[in-house]
Amino acid sequence: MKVKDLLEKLKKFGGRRAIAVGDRSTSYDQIHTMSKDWLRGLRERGVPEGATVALIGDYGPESVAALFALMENNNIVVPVTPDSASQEDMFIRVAEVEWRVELSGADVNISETGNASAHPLYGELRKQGHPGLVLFSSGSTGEPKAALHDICRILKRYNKPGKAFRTLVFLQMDHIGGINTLFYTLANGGMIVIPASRSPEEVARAIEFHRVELLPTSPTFLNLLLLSGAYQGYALDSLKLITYGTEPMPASTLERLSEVLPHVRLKQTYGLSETGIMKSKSRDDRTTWMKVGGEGFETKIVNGRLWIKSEAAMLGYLNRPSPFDKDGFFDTGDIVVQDGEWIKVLCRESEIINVGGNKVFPTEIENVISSMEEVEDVLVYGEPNPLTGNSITAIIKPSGEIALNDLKNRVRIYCRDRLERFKIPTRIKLAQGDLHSARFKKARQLRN
Amino acid sequence: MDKPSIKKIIVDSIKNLNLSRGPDEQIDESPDARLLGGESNLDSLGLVTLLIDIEDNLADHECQVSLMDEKAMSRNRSPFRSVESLAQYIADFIESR
Repeated sequence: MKVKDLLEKLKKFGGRRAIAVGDRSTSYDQIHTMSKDWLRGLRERGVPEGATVALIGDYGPESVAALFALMENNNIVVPVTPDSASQEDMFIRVAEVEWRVELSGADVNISETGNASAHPLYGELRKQGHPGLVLFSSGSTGEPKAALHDICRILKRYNKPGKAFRTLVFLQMDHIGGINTLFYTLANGGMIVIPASRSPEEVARAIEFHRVELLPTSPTFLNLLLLSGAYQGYALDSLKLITYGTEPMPASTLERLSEVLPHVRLKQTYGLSETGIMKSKSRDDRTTWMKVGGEGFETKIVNGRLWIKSEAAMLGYLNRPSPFDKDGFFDTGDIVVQDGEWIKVLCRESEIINVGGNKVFPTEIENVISSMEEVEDVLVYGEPNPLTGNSITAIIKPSGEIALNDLKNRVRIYCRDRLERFKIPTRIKLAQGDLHSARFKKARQLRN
Repeated sequence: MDKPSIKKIIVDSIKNLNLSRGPDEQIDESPDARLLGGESNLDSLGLVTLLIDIEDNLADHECQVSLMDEKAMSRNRSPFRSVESLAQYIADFIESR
């Protein structure tokens, strides 16, 4: 599917509801018209074809219309959402962003950054006249990896018609899962439902109000939904399917879910920002054994690690060497076990802390905390946590006398302005003695 | 440790945590506050942070408890739903030892 085919589809679905925020919804017709207005606006402001553009704002009809217009203008889009706002400056630098398009309430602000974007990978896209998408994921040396996608390759998999679900969106446009949900839903005439917040209460309310059928989410959220009891106060009988991915699913959560929502099918998904989201099939609702792949995907297992070759794969990283082998396979770093055609993901590479489905590298957090005046040394590691999979602990050796509660507040306030929320340590301890020896060991493990 | 003292530690932990949270992320500091659901501002990360702070502050009073385990997670009515239910859970936990 090309961008213009997708836009034609939007027109074809006409008065159907496309996107709902709170109680208000926007039709396919409206999104189509808004997108055309956006395209005119971009051209009037002189945003050239092929330019690299950061799209900054909340998820909603306006930002979706803006995304489609940028795609039609063959721009390379760098989405910045409230989830990633703290990293905007780094995104703009690494992705060589030339234009900023910022949505704030009803206001739109389009401006030039003064950057030039000459990355060789961008050159390839521009030569072909295809729109691009830059998605960031955590990197082991602290700077997140910037994956460049050809949007035409991503869209290709939506050629085949699929089911038109009313779908609640959890992940935003700066995440491959969010992009997948958006394109799949709109290409098939479904409805995107954006909850007022991602609290269990608001999500349950939105499911009831809009009769949501599909909930793509993470095990951590499902845990919280069960704990909060929010599933009891609302009518969730419209739900047909819950898909979960991004982190290992605890067996107890799966068990409880099948008990409290017996009418809902549970399905694991698998994907990475580098490879795109694969089709997957769970062996049954109560296991994490799954079959992955399907059209456009090939897999192989080498030394217990899963490798993927995908037609929807990224072109490459903007700030790292190409990670593909000579046959075009990508090393996921996931350790898997195999039973015939079924596989089960056991764990990520050892150094990564997975907090609620987000990958966190300890060195990135250590770098931030150790830049505080109050801190002489710091060691960060993950601890298993039944609610969020893992939680982050920081052991700190302060540079002077300080009470633990005082130190906690200063570290959290300092981190709040510099790190995404899930990277902020939940447990902060005062070091007893030196961290060097322990750190040396840990550091060596991390870098191998 | 008696229940009123446990409750005070929970509320003090909430007050301390609020110091590092933004104006729109404040958690209700009253002793009958709901922690999950309703108007509560706590998401999973916030809940984990608060529970760990409470564990630390209990430890300062020579009381070692581990609040997050499969037992707590698998209860039909979550012990984390309010200050009251959490205090009761901790009191029961201490008593059972």
